[in-house]
Amino acid sequence: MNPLIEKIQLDTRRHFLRNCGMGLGAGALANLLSPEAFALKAPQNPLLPRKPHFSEKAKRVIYIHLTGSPPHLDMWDYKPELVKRTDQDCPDEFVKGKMFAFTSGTPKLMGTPRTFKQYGKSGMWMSDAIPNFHEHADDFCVIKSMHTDQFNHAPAELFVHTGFPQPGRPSFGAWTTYGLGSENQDLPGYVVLISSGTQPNGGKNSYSAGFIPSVYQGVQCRSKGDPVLYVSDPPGMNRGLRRASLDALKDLNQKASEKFAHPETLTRIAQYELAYRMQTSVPDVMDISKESQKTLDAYGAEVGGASLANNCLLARRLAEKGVRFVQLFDWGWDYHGTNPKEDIRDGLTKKCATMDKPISALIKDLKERGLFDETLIIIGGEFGRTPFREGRTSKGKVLGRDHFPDCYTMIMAGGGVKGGHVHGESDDLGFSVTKDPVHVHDLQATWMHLLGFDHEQLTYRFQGRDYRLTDVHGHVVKDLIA
Amino acid sequence: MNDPVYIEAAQALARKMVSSGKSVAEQISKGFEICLSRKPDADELNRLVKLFDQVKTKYSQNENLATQMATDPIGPVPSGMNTTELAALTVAGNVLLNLDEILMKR
Repeated sequence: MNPLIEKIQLDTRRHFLRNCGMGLGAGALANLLSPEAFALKAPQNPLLPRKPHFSEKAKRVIYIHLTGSPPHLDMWDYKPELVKRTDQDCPDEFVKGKMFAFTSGTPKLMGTPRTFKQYGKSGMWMSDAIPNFHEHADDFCVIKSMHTDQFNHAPAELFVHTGFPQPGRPSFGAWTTYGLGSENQDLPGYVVLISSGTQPNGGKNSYSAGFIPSVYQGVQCRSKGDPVLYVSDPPGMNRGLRRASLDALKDLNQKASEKFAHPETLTRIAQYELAYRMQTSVPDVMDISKESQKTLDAYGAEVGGASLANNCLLARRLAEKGVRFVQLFDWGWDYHGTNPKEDIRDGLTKKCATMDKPISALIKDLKERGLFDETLIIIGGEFGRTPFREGRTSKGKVLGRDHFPDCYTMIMAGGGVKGGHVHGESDDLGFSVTKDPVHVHDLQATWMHLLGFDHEQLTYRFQGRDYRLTDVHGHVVKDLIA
Repeated sequence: MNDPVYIEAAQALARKMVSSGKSVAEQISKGFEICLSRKPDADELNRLVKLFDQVKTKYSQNENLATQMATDPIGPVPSGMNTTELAALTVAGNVLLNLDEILMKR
């Protein structure tokens, strides 16, 4: 989209004639640039469903971010050689000249204390930390050769969600709804659900619209209490009165829009209208008490709770209703070993039980409803964890690992993704990628491809240049695509 | 729009509007000026007066609803003021406080 063309689309005939000189010139220019754009008489609802560049393999996304970054070496990436070398000094070549968040000097190598086995037709390695995932080996596409530029939480989260380590860029979900619109006009196109405590370290910037119209930003729904603050009408207001006042507000805002032609005025009009529809649709979709006890048990969800299990069930309900992008953040995956919860033995077992069971239920549920093949599921953290013990806690009893950006694992499943597939390899000790590296920008380019977009073409002009999710990088990893 | 702070502010604005003029048009015009530091044009004023009339008709059929809108949470209707009118002006005031123009400089 081009702001100049948008401005012209917003102009009324009256405006056009009044500012005739400039209007005609700009009109001719717009015509040259994009005849279809100029042919649009009225600005369209920015969330109407749209077709991507080419036929899409995934229609929607459910992205489950395990905030803090899970220890991939204790879940997915089995390193028997590292197990043999447990407690040996880490060879200098691996740490020299490198920065780690909480480790300096010579750390001790640490192989996984967990038991790994191979599962599925593909013989995919998984540990006993994620027992509910074993049966999904042939659904998962496991990327063992991920690497990122950032080794602290907030920048790394922003990097994976917005393609840039500093706040202010549009997030993947915002680009998706900007590109595809949404299939349900009564719900936000991009819903964010948060569990296990708090917002991600990257904060709301991890799901913001940045500089693209804010109608595309993620809307956080709370799984407990009123799903959206003040979604109910105040005392003394009923639906008829609310409609009458919104009609007046819309007319007056429309006037302001004609006067200033600012896209955000249109966003505001659209948001008030969406809010009105959401007053009934959101409490309805967020109410899991309508689900059978069998379904609740399968996920481990509880009516009135606020867990990842509840949010996985909500993600299915939202996907079913045509919401384009559901972003889940689950706090508490930062396995430093500073307390027993962060121990990669018992602590990880307990934490994984709150994660693999609901995600497994989600996959089965989507399959039953015929939605699995068109829903891209992404599971992972913002980076990996070190093959050695974290510096601060290395003398203690709790086993933890430090942040590690050089080599880690991400999981995908569903829409257009190769199931039962392992992509890339790490070296014998898990310090570096040895085969088919996938940078965060490559993964993002692949996500956009699965949704039907050329990541280099889905752009938004801001401050004089065309921006995109992948900045100026990224290559589609064809090998991940079914 | 539903935020309790906005409702209470609109209730206070309504009371200010009632005491600022005789006709509804004068009252709404004053409220508009308080919010936007400019007078409404004819279209804008007409649209708000139309809203006032619509809403007042509905409130005059439902005393309870009117009392809630005029007083919850700000407090009882001051003597000499009409509950239905106050409720309808509160709704108009709530619209004023949510205008794009009051929230953003374009």
